[in-house]
Amino acid sequence: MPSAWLTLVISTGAAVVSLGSLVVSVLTYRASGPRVAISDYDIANRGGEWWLQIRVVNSGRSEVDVEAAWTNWLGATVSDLPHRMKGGSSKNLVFKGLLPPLQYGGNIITVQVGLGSGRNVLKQIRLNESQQGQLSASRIDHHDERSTDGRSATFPVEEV
Amino acid sequence: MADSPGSAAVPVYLAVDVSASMLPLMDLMNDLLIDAWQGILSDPLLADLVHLGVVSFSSAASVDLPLTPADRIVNLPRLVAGGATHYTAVFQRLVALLHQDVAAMKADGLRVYRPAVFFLSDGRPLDDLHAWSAALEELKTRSVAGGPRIFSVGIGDADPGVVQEVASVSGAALMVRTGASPSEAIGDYFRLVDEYTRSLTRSVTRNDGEVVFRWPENLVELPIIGT
Repeated sequence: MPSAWLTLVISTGAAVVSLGSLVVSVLTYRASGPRVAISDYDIANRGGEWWLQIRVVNSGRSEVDVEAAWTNWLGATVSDLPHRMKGGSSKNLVFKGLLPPLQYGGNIITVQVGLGSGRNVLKQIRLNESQQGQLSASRIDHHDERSTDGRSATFPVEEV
Repeated sequence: MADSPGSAAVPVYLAVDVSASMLPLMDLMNDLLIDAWQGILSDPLLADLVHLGVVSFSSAASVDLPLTPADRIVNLPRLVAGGATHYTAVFQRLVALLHQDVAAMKADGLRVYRPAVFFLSDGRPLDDLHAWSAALEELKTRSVAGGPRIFSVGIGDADPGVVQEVASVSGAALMVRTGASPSEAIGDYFRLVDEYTRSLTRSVTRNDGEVVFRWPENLVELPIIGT
């Protein structure tokens, strides 16, 4: 019956198209994978200690492990790692350190985030003028003996 | 109440940048000035010790509140922003005030503790570097024996190098930490005044010989070169 054959051909064609669409969708989903970037940062001196906070964002749809994070003069992050990031999530990482080494003379901090996928995310953070000034000041290896722990000070009580 | 002979006093000058860039902060500044004064009044020992003066500066300097015992202040000034950031005039004005005020206090029989200047600026001075440096040097060395204790607080676009230069001793140069809002910075400027004066009052009362206090959260100490 020609009509039965026609129905079978159309049905088979539809099934093939549907299957193809499904395959393409799965491949697209997998190809999108994790998309990890460092979206934001803040650097501050707290009581003589430098704190760098970065925001790592996974804007992809797949999960990914953040295995490690490191900067050129603050060293490894003090945040708990590894951390599994879901798709569409973010994670703040904190780095702390006392002073940049004397040989560090630039105005850029390089941050590297290692992922479980084997990829590394790199970002160079350029310090603004105020931050550079504070860094220069903190490199000076001198504290008046009257200054104590960097969060407090002691002065003599004197009459004039 | 008249001061009794031999009673103690500390001159405290608030030297506040009111250049045009401070305009968005002036309402807060004026409110916090009232809070600071009321905080002093809430402690009778503090109110008895502190003599408060307010000098604002931009293109010129203005004595908005002549040095007055805190418990005798009737009205606080309402500071108004405008003009550019110049330092020469305010340093010169402070030299004259310190000469005059300390001499007057001593003539009244007061024991005068080292005057404290709390200098707040959000920008870089636009007047002649040599002029303001010379005026600052005079303030530090010739305004009063041993010089006043100048706390220099930099917020906004203040240059850390200039902030350090204005401070009279290491431990008195402070920059607002990166990320703190301007309103947090202004709040911490007044907290610094409060911490210092309260600690000084305790030390004077107990005859400790030292004033010890903690920096407010958002202020970061800048060590001074070569002192």
